Amino acid sequence: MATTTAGCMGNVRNLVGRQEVDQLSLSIATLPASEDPYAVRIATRLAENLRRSGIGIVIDPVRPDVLFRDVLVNHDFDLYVARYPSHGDPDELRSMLYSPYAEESGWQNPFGFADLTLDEILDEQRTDEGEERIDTVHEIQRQVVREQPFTVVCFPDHLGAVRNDRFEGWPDGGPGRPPDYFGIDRVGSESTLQLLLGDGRITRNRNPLAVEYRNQANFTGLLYDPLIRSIRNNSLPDSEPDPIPWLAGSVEWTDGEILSATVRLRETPWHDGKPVTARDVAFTYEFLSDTSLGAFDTPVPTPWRRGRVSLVDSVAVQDDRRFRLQFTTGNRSVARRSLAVPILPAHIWRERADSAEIAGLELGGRTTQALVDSNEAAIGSGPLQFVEATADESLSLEVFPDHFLHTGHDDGIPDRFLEDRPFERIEFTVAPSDDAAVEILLEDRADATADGLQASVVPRIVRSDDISLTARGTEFFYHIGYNCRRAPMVDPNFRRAIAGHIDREATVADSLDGYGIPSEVPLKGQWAPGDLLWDGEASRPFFGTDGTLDEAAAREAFQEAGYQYDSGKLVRRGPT
Amino acid sequence: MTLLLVLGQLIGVVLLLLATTTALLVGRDRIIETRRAYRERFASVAPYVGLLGVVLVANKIARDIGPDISWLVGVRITGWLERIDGLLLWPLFPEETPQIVVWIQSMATPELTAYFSFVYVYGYVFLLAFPLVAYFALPRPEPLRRTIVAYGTNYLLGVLCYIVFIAYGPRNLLAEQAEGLLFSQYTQYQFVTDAVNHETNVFPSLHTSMAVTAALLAWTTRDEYPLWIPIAAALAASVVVSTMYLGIHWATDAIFGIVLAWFSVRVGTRFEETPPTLDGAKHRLSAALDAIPGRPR
Repeated sequence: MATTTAGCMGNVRNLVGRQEVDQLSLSIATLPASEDPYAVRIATRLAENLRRSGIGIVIDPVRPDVLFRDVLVNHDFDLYVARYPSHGDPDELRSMLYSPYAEESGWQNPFGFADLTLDEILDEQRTDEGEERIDTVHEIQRQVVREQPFTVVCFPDHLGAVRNDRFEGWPDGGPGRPPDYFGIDRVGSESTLQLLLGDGRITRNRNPLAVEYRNQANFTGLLYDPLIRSIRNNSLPDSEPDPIPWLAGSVEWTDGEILSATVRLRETPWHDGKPVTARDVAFTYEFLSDTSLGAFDTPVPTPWRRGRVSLVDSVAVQDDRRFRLQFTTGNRSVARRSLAVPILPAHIWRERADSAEIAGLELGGRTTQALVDSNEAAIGSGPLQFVEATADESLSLEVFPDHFLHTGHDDGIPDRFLEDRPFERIEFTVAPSDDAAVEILLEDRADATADGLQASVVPRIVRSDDISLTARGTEFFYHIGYNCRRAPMVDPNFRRAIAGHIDREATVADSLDGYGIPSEVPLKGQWAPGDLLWDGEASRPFFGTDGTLDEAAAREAFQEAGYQYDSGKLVRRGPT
Repeated sequence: MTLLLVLGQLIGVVLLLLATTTALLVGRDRIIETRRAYRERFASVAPYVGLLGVVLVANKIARDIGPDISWLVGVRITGWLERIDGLLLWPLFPEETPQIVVWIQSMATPELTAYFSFVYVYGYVFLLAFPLVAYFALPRPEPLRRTIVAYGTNYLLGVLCYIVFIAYGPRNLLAEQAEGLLFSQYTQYQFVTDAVNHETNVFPSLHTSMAVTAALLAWTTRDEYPLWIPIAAALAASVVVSTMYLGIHWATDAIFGIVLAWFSVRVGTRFEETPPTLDGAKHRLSAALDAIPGRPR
């Protein structure tokens, strides 16, 4: 009797001691439709398909600054769907995936992905030249498709609407990158350019380092100048952009064991009248690689353009306007990327190296004032200067008359930027929605949209004779990001199974109304491997046809990856 | 400019509706009587009007800074609202349960969109404003006081919920299936709604709760204004449906809006039956202090 009881209790203990299984539940963070309708559409599509595969999904739409703070700064997410603000440069992949960056905040490895082989080839593409580099970049993307640290979905088109009665010569898609603004032509006598914004973040925060408020940093790019601007020739849209010496009047490269360059600055002041000097440049590179300037135990690098800054090894000031840069790469075209960071005035930013003490970020002594300051007055050296702003409503900028474009220190700047100033002032107004933006344009109270419009307003634009539709392709890509720090996203097989739940062709056709190109690789043109170019089908195909999921096939993929089902639900042991 | 134009239009239409309904429902005698006695009547509700003013100012401040606070401390519930909404039609469609908002929008016609947009903007303002006019025209002050307290409770609790819960409406999540019909079809209204509210103030639906409050209050004045009951009920029902039809609110928001309305009307009624007094408050406070053990009396 005693032995039977003991045996029975043993069974119970064995049974109870095992953890219960629960349905796997994941959250997909994304932006609301009012901020990015395509992202939320991709997220709901993915959510619906994953629910069919027995995974519990909660979609979490959040404001852009909150989303990017969660994902890029606090690394607090399961999956997210958003655009990567790419410039189409292969070295960006190194920032996105380099494993030593996994603990940093920003667009540097937000996934927490770690792969030693990939780290090696990511470093290799920095030193390779020509065809060899192209091959290495192709190999990196094959690895990305194999490992799926993030899943590329598509490249959206950038749509804009413009009026031609006061200004003309708009670039395709409307004004975007800073140089676009100076290629516009004035038609009448109106000297104020009225532009519409969909995204009001620039009206609240003008800090070029605040990653959660920036995409490509086009608006802060009007206020801050880099040493070199890469400018695409609009008449040759597929060509590689030309490097134009901007704040740097001249750059002399010295090849050798270590690649270096001697730069001479143009004579130009900051918006507060103080001169821009070589010491500001040296400060900027030091500050961007550690915004605490050595005061913290661990450096706090910039969360945005981290990869670019890592290309500079040292800056030696020679005189007020001359300095010598040493690079960590031997490849000039890679090194040139580092010259495109915004140069900051040392006299303003030096005191922002202190520890930040405000809410919103997980501080713990690892955040500096520089990363959280909203930098409202934005003293830069750019061609436009800040006048005033009302949060979420408007922003006024005016031409900075002492900028080198207007004072004759303009050697090497293409003529099209030096013609008569097309405008004296820009008024940006935040429109409540894309429909409202089109309405405002139709009522003749604005000249153009300055960030993208969604495809649903295209019929309204083309029906009108007064405004015109304009579009350009982008390097931005929508992607699904996985937090590889968390189970089960840490498992590449799991990520690959999730990637099979998105039909790129149907997504672009239905969610983007055809205004985009499906892709499973993050780069375009010569950088995209031929075998992975889009041909209607992904190399890791969708589990289904025409956007409809084949549940059996999808569940089989999870089962093959070792996941278990219990009464139709994908279950895992322990807390999920 | 559009904002002023739309606001002017709104005020014009609502005044017209108010004038017509007042002439029909309130009647000549009451209007003459009110013109004679308006001073006393105003005096008898003055503290309440002050209260409503305070509530509205507090509300405005909370709405301006509310979203930022809410993103820091609030609970994000959009995903849960979507999941709950996806279950509500289960009894009707056990196989493939649609989202309520998507299901309602599947019946959309241009005429219905025009009707519900009109109701959401003009009908709603009229529904809230008419009781204030009609009850002012009554000799007893209770209905008006009750209305003011109920409206105030609605706003205070609504704004508190907006800070505690942060959520986007269906138009912001189900972008491919549910359209923000009001703003895509009648874009001009967005300039007004954008000025008075924030898109994350979704749970609960204040449009629903205020409209249902007005309808429930109509029942308390059934002897004076029997005809107002069917009008208020029909308008309130339309406003509730419009919030979902236009893709602005989840069905869950509307349901909690109705609960909030019921609660606010109860508060209004209780307040009127046993008006709070300074002595009463002192009494309760000292009773509470006495209840602390060990305190010398």
